Parts: sequence; structure tokens; C-alpha cells
Amino acid sequence: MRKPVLGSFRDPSGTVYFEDGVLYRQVNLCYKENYDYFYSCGLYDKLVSFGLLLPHIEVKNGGEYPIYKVIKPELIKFISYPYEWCFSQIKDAALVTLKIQKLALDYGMTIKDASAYNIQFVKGKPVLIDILSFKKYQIGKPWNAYKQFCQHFLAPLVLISYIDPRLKKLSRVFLDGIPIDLCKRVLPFYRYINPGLFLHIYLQAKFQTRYADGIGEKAAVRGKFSLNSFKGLIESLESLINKLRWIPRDSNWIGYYSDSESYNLDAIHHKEKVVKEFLEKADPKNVWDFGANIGLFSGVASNKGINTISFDADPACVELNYVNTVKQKEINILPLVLDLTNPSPNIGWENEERMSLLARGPVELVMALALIHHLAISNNLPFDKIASFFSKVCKWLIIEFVPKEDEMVKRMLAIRDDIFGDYSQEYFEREFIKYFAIVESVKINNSKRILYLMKKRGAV
Amino acid sequence: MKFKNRVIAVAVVVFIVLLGFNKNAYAYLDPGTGSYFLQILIAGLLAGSYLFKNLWRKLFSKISCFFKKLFKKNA
Repeated sequence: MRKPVLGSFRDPSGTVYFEDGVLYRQVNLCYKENYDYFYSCGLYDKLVSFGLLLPHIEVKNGGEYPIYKVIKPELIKFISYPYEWCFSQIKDAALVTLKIQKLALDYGMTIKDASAYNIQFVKGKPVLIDILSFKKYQIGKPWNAYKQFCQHFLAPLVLISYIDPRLKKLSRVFLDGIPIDLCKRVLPFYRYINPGLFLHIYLQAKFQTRYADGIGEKAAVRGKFSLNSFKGLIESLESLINKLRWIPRDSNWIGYYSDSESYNLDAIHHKEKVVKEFLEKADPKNVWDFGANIGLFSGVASNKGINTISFDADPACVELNYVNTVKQKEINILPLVLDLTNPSPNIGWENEERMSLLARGPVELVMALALIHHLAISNNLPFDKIASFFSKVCKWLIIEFVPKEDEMVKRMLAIRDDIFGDYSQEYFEREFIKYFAIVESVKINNSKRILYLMKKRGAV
Repeated sequence: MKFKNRVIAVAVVVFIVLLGFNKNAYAYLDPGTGSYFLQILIAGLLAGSYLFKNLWRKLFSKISCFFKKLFKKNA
């Protein structure tokens, strides 16, 4: 039975749907000319060979109107959204989009939209997933997707780089990217000494306001935009984005394992060994690591070839995690920014276009290491609620209990009233066994913390 | 008859003018008037910058090749 992908409805060229659990893309007749040209000119082969485009195979010709063809894309293991990416992920996705546009021009094509949602991370690298983005280049026409590119990619990068990484969350509020005029208002005026910022942020915002009512038929018709102008525009954006930097500073979490009083080297090694043994017992196909920090234990899962999503609320930790995965050419880890106490919700038209975290689950195994005290004490979440949440999300759970005697918990309670009378190992176990069976528990060497392997009740 | 021909002529002109307002079926993305106009306005600057950079890259490449050959000969 056909089940449409709810976020796929804006482009009349085609749509994405599931049938019997398999993902397909329908190409409509109105896109026939561009689709055939895209393949015949060699651009498809070029992009796939460079690892820039998700490969597709043709499965059906024709069908009920308006179907031209049905194609099957390679399945992506986890869908992530731009508001969950760190700085370098957004930057790499932006540069890939521009690289694709540059290549397309060499083949007489252009991309008609530059949405960040057209990019997904596959085996650690950003790739274009929307094969219907391409259209034949019309000589003399400016880039239709310029405004969208700046809103989806340039604005968040500029805000993170020059103001604060938390402003990236605006991408979730503004579905079609952060408005350029908002970015212009926030950026200090002296930043416009940079010609790229002056052109693509300041001037563009001014022009958007000035010409909001239109520029008139004459100006639109007379205006010409040559191929060299187009290439110049792409290179200008590339140059600006390449120079944008964000060095994570002032993060409390980057040195967590090296500076922590709760762990010494022996404890960390023992914890790694136990996590590895638990993973071997559970043998999951995929893992979500909540509170992953810089991905130290995500690495234990990924080294076993397990597809691992490495979540953390701190953008600096995710940035460092991602930079390390790129350096090591790691293909099994995808680091993402996520606040577990306020995870990504369903958003968009009818709250159905972009899926919540829960809607993208469940996963076979969750790791919740050095996390429970942040949820229960810093965020006042009862154990029952935490256990209930995990039971909705996973079949297997590796969770670390951090007792009150632990140095980190002592620090948390140093300047606040201890209202956590129920915060104990006994109560923790009592609440969690309502949802999970405790398969094994191991006390970490030279630490007061205990690791548990749990299995959801009733799971096969 | 004259009046009838006049009416037909006006109808044909209106039809042709309306045809000219047909939007490209693939322009499903709103490019934003200001962003569109900015590109047209700076088209010359962008093209000039692109050509200059290209020229400079080619020149630099030729100069590098020349000096590489020179050092190889001397070596």
C-alpha cells in the first residue's frame, strides 16, 4: 500500500512515497524534459561518481497520470535536519550545494532550489538527495535559489560564527531558513567591512525590503545575468563560506572526561570495555547515544560497524565530534545537536513536514551514559518519566547510574536544596524495572558509577 | 463587419499578452524580488571578478610551471 512521505508535496516535478516499506520517488511528466537531459548529458553519473548525489535506480516507466517514471533511491539510515547540525556540518552541506551548482553549469543545468533539507549525511558526508532539483540552464536568468541558499546556509553560519551558536535554533522556527533581514539586524555594522557579508547579507536585505512590491516588468526583462556572472556569484558565496570559522570556546563539556573528578583513566577504560561487552550481548543494528559528549563511547559502537547517531545538547561537543569523524573518515557515526529535555518536534505544514525525534525511532539500542543525573537532578525529571521515554525509543538500553556520592552530583547539589529524596540506586532500579528487565549491572572500577544493560519488557 | 474584425483583433492581442504572463512551470520556488534584482544589478561585478580570478589562476599556474622547469634545469 502506498504511503506518502508527508514532507514531499511542494514540488510539482514529483513526490516521494513508501510502498510496502520501500522508498520510491515518482517523477512526473512535467519534469520529463529536465529528467531525461539530466541523465543524457552525463551530470547524474558525474555527481554520483563524486559522491555528491544519492544514487537512484529506475524501477518503472510510466503509469497512472501524471507519472513519467518511478525511481528508487538508496535508503538513508537516519534522516537529520539542518537545525540539528553543528557549524561544520552546515558549512560542508553549503559547500557541497555550491559545488553541485558549479558542476551543473558545466553540463548546461542549474539547481532550481537550494534547500538545506535536500542534503542528508550518508556515511559521514553530505549528499544531495533530491534528484528533481535540476533544470536546464536558461541563459541570462539569475539564480532562482540564491535567496533560499542564503537563508538556509549563509545566515545560520554567519550567526554562529559572529554572534552565538544558539542562534542556529532559529532554523527550526523559520522553516525556509533564517530571514536575511533578521540576520542583517543582528550582525554588528562593522562586520560589513567584509565585502561578501556586505553583498550577500546587508545589500540583499536592503534590496528585499526596497523591492518587496516588485521591480516592474521592464527591469525584470532587461536585466541580464551571464554565465560568467552566475559562476562569479557561486564563487563569491564559496569564498565567503570557506572563510567562516567557529572555534568552540566557553564550553563546560568539552573537557568532561579529561577534567572530570568522577573518572580516571582506569575508570574510562573499564567503562569502554563494559560498553563493548554489553553491545556484543545486545548485538543491535543501530544505536542512539544520548548525551554523547564528544563521541567517546559512540566510537565503541561505530568501531563494531554499528550505525550510531551521537546526540548532545552542547553545540561545541557536537562540533568537535563531527570534526573528529571527518578527520578519521568515520562512516558509522552521525553527530547531531539535540536537547533531550526539548527534542526536535514535528514541524511544518499540519505539523507533518519534518519529523520529531520519536517519529524517527524506535532504535534497537540507546546509550545513556553519564546522563541520568542531568535529567533527574538538573531537570527535575522523575525516574519513571525517564524510563517511560526510553521504553518508547529503544529495545535495549545501556544506562549509567550516577549516585549522590559522585563528585559531579555533589557539585550539582552544592548550591541548591536537596529535594531528591528518591534519588538512589534502589529507587532507580525499582522505577526502571516497570519498563525494562535488568540483564546485567557492573560497577565501574575506581568510580562510584554503575553501568546497566536493560531490555525492554515484552521485546522479542 | 468592421466592428466584428476589431473585436477579434483585440481578443487576439489580449490573448497573446496573457500568454506572456505564463510563469515557467518549474519556477516553483519564489526567488524573492529583491534578491533577483540584486543579482542583475551586480552581474557585471560578479562576471568581472570571476574572469579576473580565472585569468589570475591561469597566469599563476603558467608562472609556477615556468619556475619549476627553471629550477629543474639548474638542478
